[in-house]
Amino acid sequence: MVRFLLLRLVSAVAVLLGVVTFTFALVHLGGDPLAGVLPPGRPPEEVAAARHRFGLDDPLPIQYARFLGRAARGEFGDSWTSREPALAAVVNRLPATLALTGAAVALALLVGVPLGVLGGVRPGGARDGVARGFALLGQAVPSFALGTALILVFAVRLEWLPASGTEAGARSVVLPALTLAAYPAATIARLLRVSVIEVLALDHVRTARGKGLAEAAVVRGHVLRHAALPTLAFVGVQFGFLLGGAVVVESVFAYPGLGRLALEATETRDLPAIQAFVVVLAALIVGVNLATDALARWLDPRVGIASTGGRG
Amino acid sequence: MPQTLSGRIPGTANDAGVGTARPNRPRQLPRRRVPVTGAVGLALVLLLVVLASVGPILVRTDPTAQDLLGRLAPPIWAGGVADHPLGTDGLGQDTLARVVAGARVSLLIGLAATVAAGTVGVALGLVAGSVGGAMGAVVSWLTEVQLALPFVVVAIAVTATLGNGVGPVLLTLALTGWVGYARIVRLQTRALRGAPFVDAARSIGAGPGRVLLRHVLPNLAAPIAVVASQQVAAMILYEAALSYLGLGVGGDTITWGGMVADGRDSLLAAPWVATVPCVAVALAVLGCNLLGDWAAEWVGRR
Repeated sequence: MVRFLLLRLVSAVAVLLGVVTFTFALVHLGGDPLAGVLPPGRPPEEVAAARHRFGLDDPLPIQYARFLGRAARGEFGDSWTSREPALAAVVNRLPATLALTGAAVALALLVGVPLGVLGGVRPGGARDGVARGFALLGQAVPSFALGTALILVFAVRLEWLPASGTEAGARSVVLPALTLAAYPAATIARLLRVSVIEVLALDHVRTARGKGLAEAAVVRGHVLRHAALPTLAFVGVQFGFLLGGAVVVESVFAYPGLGRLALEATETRDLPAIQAFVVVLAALIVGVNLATDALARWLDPRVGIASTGGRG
Repeated sequence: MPQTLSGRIPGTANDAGVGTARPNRPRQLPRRRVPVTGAVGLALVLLLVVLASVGPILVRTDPTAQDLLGRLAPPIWAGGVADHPLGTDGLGQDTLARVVAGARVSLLIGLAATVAAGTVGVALGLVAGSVGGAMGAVVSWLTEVQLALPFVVVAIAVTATLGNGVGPVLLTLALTGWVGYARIVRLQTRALRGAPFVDAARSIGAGPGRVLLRHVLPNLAAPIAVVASQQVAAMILYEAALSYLGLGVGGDTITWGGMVADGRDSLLAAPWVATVPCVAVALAVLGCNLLGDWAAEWVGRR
């Protein structure tokens, strides 16, 4: 277990190195990083002074090494628009986004698991039809469309829940979380349905039925336990994609999380804020994946170290 | 990513076919006829292709013609006029004409992004599967790095540094969509490494590049096509989301995502402005998904 964790940790650091390199490369391949900051037509001395101030007149390898060293310490410089440290700006917005994502994961499990089991237990039946229809729709409707529809129904027509912002406390998380949960709920239902169908065909299920267990007990005790592992692994990977999806949902509901910050930073080409956003988000995802891997390993020791490379 | 569009790793999670056969019923003959879902998918995709190719000939209204007196006109089922069957937006532009114009962008970007992501993924998969060793480790590492970068995050980083445009959108979608191809091509290439026809090709003096491109790659056409057919839907969804967020093609290009974003301001007074393009995206994605699942099932059966 210790060896497994150490190896996974090394691989996580390597992944973060790749992420930092990606952000660095993008900024320096994308033309002059100062193009969006300095108004055009400035005298060359002023431009040169600005380049020197940001360290842009050094050779690229030196800039890269410096960027790596500062990223390791969490320093991305000050945001070009708000003048506060970029990392602090990102971290301040993190709780709101995490609350939204966490609520969405819970909702997705709450809806997706029963649907997947009901569909898988009797494939081709009426319940399965409902479950499959939900899965198809949940994967086809874009989150901004679903969010817009939810606003129209629950905020505008029924006036049950707020349409945007966070002034209403927990109530203002409901609609964004529902919107964000639709896709993973559909995917969980799909995956679990297939797993349940596969597990139902296994020998131990026949044995359990053969000894006279009621069908519900067979499903609860002998099928779900087997079928849950792939879904658990998926939820771990899914978390990262939900963080990305939160950007869209936050934009729909004017929810002040990380995504809004990043979109505003994109409009102003605030590169330190963007870099901090990308690295912090990636670090979160890598951390969650590490935790999920450790959990899966603990649940099922057969999960090997070799499997870490092929995942994805 | 797909996801909410976030969750979909393009080209994964194929459960097509499981459950269409009913294991509880004895003596069922293999089904040969077209499944209903496949037919619906085919019809929707055909509609999308027709709209994208000849739509502007069928709908003569100029999608950019503004009519400030006829702003926010309701669609025909809500008491609108036949001139604007789906109503008009905040500038009095015809919604139907704009949906038709958006279909072309959606389909072209969806296809181009699928090809771009496929090219990257197939190339990396071929190299990793045939050389193995260090190259395999590098591709594994790239895969893990990609998984830590959700596509919206990549889109934000790319747009912040390169700006809006077709190039940055394709770059974003290619950077985030190649993993599905690389994985399957890598596995299959490794499996074919010792196949008799590969040995035979090598024995008559074919170099590694020639073996890969002329002998291995053609054998992988079917799985690659399956991944691609399922990815088009995701790409259409992603493009719409990017346009909605202002991270898309930009400029004066009419896109479905952009139309939804424009319709947000008049959501109370004129919900159809945002709803119509939403429905268009959902139908296009649904159609591509259904058709992709059917294609996967069909290939899987052969």
